[in-house]
Amino acid sequence: MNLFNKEEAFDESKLNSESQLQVASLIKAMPDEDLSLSWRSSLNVKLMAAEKARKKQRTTKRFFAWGSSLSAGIAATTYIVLMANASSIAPTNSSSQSLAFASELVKTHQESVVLASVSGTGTSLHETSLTEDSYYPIDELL
Amino acid sequence: MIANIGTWKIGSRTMQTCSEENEFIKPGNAESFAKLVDTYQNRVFGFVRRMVPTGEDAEDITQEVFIRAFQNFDRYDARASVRTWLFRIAYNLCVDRARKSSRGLQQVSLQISPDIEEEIDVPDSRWQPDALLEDAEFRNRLDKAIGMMSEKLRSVLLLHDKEDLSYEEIATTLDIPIGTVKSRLFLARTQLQNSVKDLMEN
Repeated sequence: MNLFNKEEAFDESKLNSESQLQVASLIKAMPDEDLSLSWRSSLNVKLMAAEKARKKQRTTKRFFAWGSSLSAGIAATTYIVLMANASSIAPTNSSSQSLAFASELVKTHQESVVLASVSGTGTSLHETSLTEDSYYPIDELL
Repeated sequence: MIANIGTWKIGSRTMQTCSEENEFIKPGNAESFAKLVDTYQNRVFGFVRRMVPTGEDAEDITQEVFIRAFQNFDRYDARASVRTWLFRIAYNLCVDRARKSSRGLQQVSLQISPDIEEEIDVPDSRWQPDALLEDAEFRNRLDKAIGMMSEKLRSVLLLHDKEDLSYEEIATTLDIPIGTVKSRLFLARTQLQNSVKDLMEN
């Protein structure tokens, strides 16, 4: 048996004994005090202030709720517009750039092929190999 | 058992009221709340006045009760009656005030001595509480005795014997089992009778 059940088992007849009922009637007969009109008007002022505060709080909440929704909406719209613009413009630019790049690549490749096919002396600007015609004895030079 | 019928609408909220309260709480707005204040202000004040040491504190707390009630409709539990709800707010505020003023709740033993029962159970057919209360000395003594009582006992005594709340309503108000309500009520009455016994006999 838990505490609750023990307490539930309290003998209610004890509360209905004459002495207990005497005290109950004494408490009941105690005089009441009434509150003044100034107390009531003061309460009304406080209730109005509470209502104003509540309305203000509600307005602030709405503002934040609408504000955040509006910001999210604007951000989403801006993103969509930018994405739409980017998709319509970007392919033209990129294709022309890629074509130019490709043609440049082809050109470079072709030049390198031509250079590679021409072999022999003089094909390179910086040739340093010595031949018989270009040999001079050292004393002649001096 | 209180039958919950009718509704009380303030602003956008609607609350259930019990049949006896439905007589004055009509669907509407702040006017309904004003009627609620008119009906309960003195009862709440009477309870609070005996729960806190000074009348000024009692007036402040009573105002706070109605302000809290006004602000917290959305937390109102429609299963309880409006007056139970109001007294619950009042009791909590009194306890808070007592804690703030370093008068914490006293621990009360629920052991009931059989000697006490034998001692005080004196039937008196000439019992006239109104006549007794006309005596200023008796009234002062009674007020002091109630003031000296622990808040746990005092709240149950006042809610049951003064405000006519049922055991179930008090259990809901104070958030305690019904058995505890009964045992506290018994102890409170016994303690009070011991305090004013000599004057009662005279």
